[in-house]
Amino acid sequence: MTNRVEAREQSGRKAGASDERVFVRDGLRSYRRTYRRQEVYWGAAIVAGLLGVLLWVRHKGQHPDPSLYDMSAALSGAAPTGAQVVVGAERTPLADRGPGAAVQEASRANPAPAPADAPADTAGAAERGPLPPELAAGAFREGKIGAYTPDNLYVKIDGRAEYYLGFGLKSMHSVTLESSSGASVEIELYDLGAARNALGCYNGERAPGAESTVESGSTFRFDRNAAFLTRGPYYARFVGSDETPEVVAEVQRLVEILRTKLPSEERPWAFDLFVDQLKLPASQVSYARENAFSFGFAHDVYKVSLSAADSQDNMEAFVAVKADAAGASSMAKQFQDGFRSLGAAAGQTPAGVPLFKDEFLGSFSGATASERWVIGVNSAPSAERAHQVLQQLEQGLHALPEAVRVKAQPAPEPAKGGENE
Amino acid sequence: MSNERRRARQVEPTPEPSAQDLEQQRDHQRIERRALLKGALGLGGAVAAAGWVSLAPSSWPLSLRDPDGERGKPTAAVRSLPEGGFRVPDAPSVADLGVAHGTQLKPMLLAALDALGGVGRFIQRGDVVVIKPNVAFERPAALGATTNPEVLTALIEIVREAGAKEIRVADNPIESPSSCFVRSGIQAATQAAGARLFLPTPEEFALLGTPGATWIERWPFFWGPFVGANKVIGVSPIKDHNLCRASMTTKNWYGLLGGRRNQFHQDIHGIIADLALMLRPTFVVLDATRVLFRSGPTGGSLGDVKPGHTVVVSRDSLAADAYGWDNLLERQGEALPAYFAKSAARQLGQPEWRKLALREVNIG
Repeated sequence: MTNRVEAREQSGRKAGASDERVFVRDGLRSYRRTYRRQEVYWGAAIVAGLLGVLLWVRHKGQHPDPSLYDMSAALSGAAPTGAQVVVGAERTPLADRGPGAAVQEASRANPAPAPADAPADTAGAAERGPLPPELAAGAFREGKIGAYTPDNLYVKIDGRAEYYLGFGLKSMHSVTLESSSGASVEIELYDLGAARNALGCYNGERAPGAESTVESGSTFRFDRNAAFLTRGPYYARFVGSDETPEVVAEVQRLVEILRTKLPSEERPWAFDLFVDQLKLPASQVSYARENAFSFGFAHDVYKVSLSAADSQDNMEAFVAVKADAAGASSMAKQFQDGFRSLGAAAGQTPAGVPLFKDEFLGSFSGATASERWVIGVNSAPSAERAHQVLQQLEQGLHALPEAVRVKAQPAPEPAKGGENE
Repeated sequence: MSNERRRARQVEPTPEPSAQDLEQQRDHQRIERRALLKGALGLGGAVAAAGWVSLAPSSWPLSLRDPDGERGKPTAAVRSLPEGGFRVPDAPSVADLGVAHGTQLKPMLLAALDALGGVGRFIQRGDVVVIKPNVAFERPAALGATTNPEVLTALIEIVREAGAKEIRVADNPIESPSSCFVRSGIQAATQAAGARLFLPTPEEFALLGTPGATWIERWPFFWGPFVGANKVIGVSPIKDHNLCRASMTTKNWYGLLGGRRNQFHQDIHGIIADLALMLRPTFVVLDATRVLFRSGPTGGSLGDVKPGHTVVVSRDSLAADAYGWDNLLERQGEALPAYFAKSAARQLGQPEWRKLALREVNIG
């Protein structure tokens, strides 16, 4: 040991040190004064590699993938369920694309090109939905076809979508027919799930005084460049680019096609009351799926206008059916409370139905229950007239055939977004 | 160690350690323990630090945890519009509302602008001007759902004659943009008048910060046309609207938003008030050459449109809208839509237009 220690001291190394060790026991200082060339080359290569990695990371940070800027997912969360891809030449609108999404615009200066003829397979049929095939004729050719769901209808018509959603929209299909002269007719075909919804939707867009034609299961009207049709659960709007004879004739032709091709549906039970019993025009019958007379509780209400088209009055008779007499009594009470909130009590009819006089309009309104039904009158010009209407409704109800009375059932209460039918 | 040395070490007898050697060995052992402990401590610290950085909840300090990858994404810059918007200085001696009736659109616009001090008050030589029409739907202009292209043409000419260096026309329609611009006639009018058309492409959008907004405090915005622009003019039709009851100059800015903006329908008046906060224009033009008084905002029947033969110009969107509500939609006496009160509460305009200075002219 002593010889070894002395030998080390002579060589200038501390006890326990070795030629092979890099570190010494008294510190982390590198002991070796020399290094092999191979070690140096390896070290330089590793440093160069690390430097390269550093530079690559810095470069990627300054030039990130553009898709990383797509904020639509971060801002909107999950995509709406049930949304269908809009097919054909209707591309996903840029309103739904945030920055970073791929652009599919064919040309920014020219109109969207017309699509190739839709293949006669199930995929093509699905695009068209209930739109009859081969609508094009004469100078007009089919252009874009669009298919929309309740979740993405706003893409087509923005805030107007809420109107149709309020009538239980299931889907909407659109097609534009264009002529070489630049004229066009666009068809918007709304599937509202039930004939009563389609009827209500149709009448909601009918201008006061506008007359409709009721024929063979269809209700329709023309208005300069446009036409409106309801048949079965469908409501169709025909929008012409102008009111030239060419466009007007094309609108009329398309209305005839849809009148014959769209499936019809048994008319709602209230027609038996208003039309068959009370002999009122079918074109005056309307339906409020919800918010009848702006009352939040008033859904599934059939109305019929009793005022002349050119009259200042807006008198309406209305009826609703509930599951039982208790439900009808409850709804009748709600109507009474609603009419009271708009004015003041105005006595009763000889039959004991409370009447209420509108504070601003001076008209009379009232409602009562009759078995499972709620009957009422809104905006009658006098208490006597209100009583007369209520009497007619009562008599009409009692005269309804048993089959109709059985058929008369309440519709499901609309859920938020109108998806329950 | 070489084999020879190993054999040599085995042959050598090991001498007895001296007291000094023993002392040195004990010192060496103490040093090795310290070194071991130091090393262990250092290694443990490094492991703990690495664990913290990678596993601690992302809200904790120094945490780099990124479970969904969002933190690692580059952060998009949030743009902002000029503080105070694109407004010009007040001029107390002129009217706040300029209303012109007639059928000659350019003279009508000039007369309405003259009421406010003349176009020179708003547009100077070298200005880069953004004009934002309503091109929301693929409808012919006659149906009243979009800005009248003839009004746009007249406006572009007026702005050019005032010395604007560049005029940009931009909107982000709901439907297929190119089709909307074509069928509405806006594209043809823009190109014929020599202005530059901006179609919305993803590259043109950026996050815009609107401090104080309820819905759009940070929201994708059609930013491209605004790069380098110093004046902004809105020109909108006057329309019935089934949600907010009327769509006029304030709602017109909706067409600059990107993203899933349909969600704003649940608070339509709130979003319109936010739009008034977002963009303070140089002036607005309420295009009432036609009035879509029913079935808005899309319309469809010419029976829902009536001639208006009017343009209204103002620096105050709310005042222009309120005038339109009362006199052009003929809803005077009905309560104003809620967005008026919301915007007025933020001091973004004066819905009581009768309290303002108005000049009305008939042209031709």
